[in-house]
Amino acid sequence: MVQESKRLWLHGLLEVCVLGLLEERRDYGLALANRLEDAGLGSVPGGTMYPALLRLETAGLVRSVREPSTTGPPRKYFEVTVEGRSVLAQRRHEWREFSRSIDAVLGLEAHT
Amino acid sequence: MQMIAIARATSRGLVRRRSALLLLTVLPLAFYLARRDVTHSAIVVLALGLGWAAAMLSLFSTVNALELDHRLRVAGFSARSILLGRILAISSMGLALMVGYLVLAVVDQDVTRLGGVALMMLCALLVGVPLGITVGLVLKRELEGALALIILLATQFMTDPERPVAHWLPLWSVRGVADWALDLKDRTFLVDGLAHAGATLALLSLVIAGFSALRLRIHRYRPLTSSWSD
Amino acid sequence: MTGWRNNFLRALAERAVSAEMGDELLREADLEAAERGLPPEQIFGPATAYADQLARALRVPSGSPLALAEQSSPALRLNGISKRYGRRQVLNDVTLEVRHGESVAVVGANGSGKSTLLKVCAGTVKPDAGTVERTEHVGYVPQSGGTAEFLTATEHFELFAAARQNSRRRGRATGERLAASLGWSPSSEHTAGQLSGGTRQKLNVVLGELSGPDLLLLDEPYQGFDHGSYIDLWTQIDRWREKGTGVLIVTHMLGDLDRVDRIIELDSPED
Repeated sequence: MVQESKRLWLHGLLEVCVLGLLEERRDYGLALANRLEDAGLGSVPGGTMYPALLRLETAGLVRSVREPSTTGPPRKYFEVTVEGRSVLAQRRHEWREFSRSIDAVLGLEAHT
Repeated sequence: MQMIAIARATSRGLVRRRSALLLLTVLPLAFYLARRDVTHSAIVVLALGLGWAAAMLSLFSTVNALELDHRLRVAGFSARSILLGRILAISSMGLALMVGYLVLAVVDQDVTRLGGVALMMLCALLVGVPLGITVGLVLKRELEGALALIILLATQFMTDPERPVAHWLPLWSVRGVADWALDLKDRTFLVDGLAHAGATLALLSLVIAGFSALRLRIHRYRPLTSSWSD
Repeated sequence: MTGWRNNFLRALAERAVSAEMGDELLREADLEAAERGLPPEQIFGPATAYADQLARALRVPSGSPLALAEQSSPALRLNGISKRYGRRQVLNDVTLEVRHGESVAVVGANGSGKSTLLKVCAGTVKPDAGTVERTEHVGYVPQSGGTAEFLTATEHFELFAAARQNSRRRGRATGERLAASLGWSPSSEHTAGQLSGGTRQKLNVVLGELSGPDLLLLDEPYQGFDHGSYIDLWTQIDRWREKGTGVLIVTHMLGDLDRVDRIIELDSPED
């Protein structure tokens, strides 16, 4: 199934994707999941998203801040740390190389 | 000391097996009761039974510890401490039994040479304990070991001690000393009996030492230093 | 809803998450559920699975293991080890090294001689060829036969303490502390034979590490472990590494191989 392969691929890339989103803009759990869905990556359940965010936090790549929201109880926002930015830059570089290799292997390159 | 720790642990483990200990205690008593009316026979089978019980005890203790022994060696126990510790524990239990049976024999029978009866039982222990260990080390399994012991010891019971072949059976010394202790024959019989026990003990000890040394070897390695900075 | 929250807290506790942290995680889950107007089961899935994920996410990663291994001296070095049993060549020219503070996993098909390899390291099996170099102080956790059926856990600690001339009291104290790291409280009443398989195996592991060895040899040590205990074991392995102990672990659970520094694969036996 199409969804199945996407889900598997995203499983390995989830943390780096979340890191990327957070570098762009700080956000909370549900909103991050929505942004991923809008980007066409399918829906990520809370049971997967929150542990991923916690892993990033334990590793020191993001930090969490509780903020009072206008509608209802305080929300937990995540923002990227300095170390998180540097790790993300590294991962971007690695991804560029990696995806290029995959493209070649899958016959997606324009020439050669 | 390492040996004491092994002895303590062995004793604790054995004492937990209450039913087994009870049955082993009853074994010589059963023999005794069967022959109670004839003093000579009664005390001989009591002593033989003690030897048998001691052999069974050391057989099972040995077999049960075969794998654990390797681990104890790697943990740092010397082969000697493992062997001697186990022997100490089993012998202590055997001695406790012996005292009990000695009292029984003295109280219930007409005994002239108390020391002789004690020597008979001592021979039974001195042979029985290493016999069980030897069988355990050689056959490595409980059922096979128990069967081997039954063959040896039942044959012991049934063979006429006068026949030459009887001298090849491990517990002959009990009968030999009995001639002096119970039939009140002269001293040469005592000496013969004790010599047989001594020789059997020596032979079994050699076998045990040899087997243990081989089995419990930690094979040679080149030592590396334990600090982790170069 | 009450059921989910209870399961959640219980699962976290079983995985050695502190009570305060557990309460905080529950609070956050409640807030999220309140905000979305959905029951937590629907947002997070089954409580135990979610708790398991969170517990693992909280594991403090060990600091720069690579740097450690590069500087440290070897705790174990095998060179050209071969062993044959009858007609079966069980080990064929195996060479490996484990440094202090490093963890190495040994994997391979059944019958590829993994247990035999550990026994060669421990010294209870003599190789037909090759040399063994190792630190003197080694801890060994065999796959079977490592415990005495009729002794209690406490009696085991006292016995093994005597191996290195430690007092019985010290052995008991150390044993209980190490047992707690594996999420287990040893009873002085039950003999090893009366323990559940997983608990008996935890005793097995504790006995291997009791004397604080420089090299630890583990043969599939997690038999009968539930998931939480399995995680505890890997946390413990990390702690040994940080202390400078070299760890060699035979494993067939290939999922967690990213937790070791290196993997050695033994060839399958040729028929």
